[in-house]
Amino acid sequence: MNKLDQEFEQLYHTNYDQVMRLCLGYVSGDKNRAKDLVQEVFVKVWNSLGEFRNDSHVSTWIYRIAVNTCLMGLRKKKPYTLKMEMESDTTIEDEGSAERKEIQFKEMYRCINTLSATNKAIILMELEGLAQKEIAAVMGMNHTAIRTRIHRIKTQLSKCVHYG
Amino acid sequence: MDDFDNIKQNWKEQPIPKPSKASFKGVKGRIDQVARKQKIANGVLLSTVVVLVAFFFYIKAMEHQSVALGLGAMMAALLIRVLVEFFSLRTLKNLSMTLDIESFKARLIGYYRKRVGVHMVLTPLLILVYSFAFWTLLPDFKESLSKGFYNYIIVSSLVLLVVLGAFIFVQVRKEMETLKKLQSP
Repeated sequence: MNKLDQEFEQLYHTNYDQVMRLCLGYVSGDKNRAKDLVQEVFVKVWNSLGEFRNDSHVSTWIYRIAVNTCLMGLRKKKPYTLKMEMESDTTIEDEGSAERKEIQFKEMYRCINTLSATNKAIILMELEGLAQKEIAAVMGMNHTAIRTRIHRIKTQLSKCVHYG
Repeated sequence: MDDFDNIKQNWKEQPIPKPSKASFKGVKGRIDQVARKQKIANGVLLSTVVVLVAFFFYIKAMEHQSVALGLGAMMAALLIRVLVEFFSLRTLKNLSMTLDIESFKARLIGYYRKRVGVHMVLTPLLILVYSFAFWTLLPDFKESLSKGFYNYIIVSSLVLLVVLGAFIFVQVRKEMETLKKLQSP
C-alpha cells in the first residue's frame, strides 16, 4: 500500500461515522442504502483528491462531497420503513427500552424526511455538532442566513417530534 | 432538555454500521470498477457505431436510394439518442463534487432541466423520425421478406413503440420529481 492509499484509508476511518450518519439521514435510516451511499461518497473523495486545497478543513470538504452525493442520490430514492435491529440477548426490560428507542428513531427520521433537501443537509450537520460558520462554508451561504434557517428548522423539527 | 436537544442526543446515540478493513476494500474495489465501467461504456458505444455502419454497407444500402435514406435516418436517430445519453451521463459524472451545496444544486437543477427537455422534445422527435423512416421502408420489407417475418416486424415494432413510450413517461416523471425536490428551498 503506497502513502496515498494509507492517507486515504485514514481519512476513511476518521470520517466514516459522520458520513454514515449524514447518509442515514438522507435515506430515512435505511442502513443498506446508507452503506452504498457512503461507499459512493468515498469513491468521489478519492476521485476529487486532486481538487482539495488547504483553504478549508478536510471534514468540511468531505461534508460537501457527502451532501452533493446524497443530492445526486435523490433520483434513486424509494420509500422505506425503518427497522432497527435488537441485540439477541436483550431482556424484556431492555426490549421495552429498545422498543421506545426504536419509536424515537423512527419519529426522528420521519421528521427529518419532511424537510427539503437543503434544510435536511443543514440540520444533519447541526445534529453532528458542526459550527454554524462551517455549515455556512459547506452550503455556500452566509452565516446570518444559516443561523436564521437553523432556528426555523429546529422549531419545525421540534414541533414535528412533539405533535407528530 | 427541549425536543431538539433530545433529537440531537438520539442522533449521536443511534447504532450505526462500523467501518472495517473489508468495507474500505469495498471502496477501493468500487474505485477500480468505476474506471472499468467507463472503459466498457466507451467500448460499447464505439462497437454500436461500427456495427451500424458495417450493417449499412453489408446490405448494400447505397445501391437503393430510398432504402439508404430510410435506414440512414433510423440509424442516425438511434445514434443521436445514444450519444445524447452518453454525454448526458458524462456531464453528471463530471460535476465537481467539491462545490458548495448551493452551487452544486444549481448545476444539478440545470442538468435535470436539460434532461426533461431531452425527454419531452428531442426523444419524441427522434422516435417520429425513426418511425417515419421505418414506415417508408415497409414496401421494401414486404417485397423482400416472407409474410410471417414481415408481420412479425410490424407487430414487434408496435410493441417496442409502446414499451418505449411507457419508459419515457416513467423517466420524465422520475426526473420531474427529482427536479421538484431540488428546487424546494
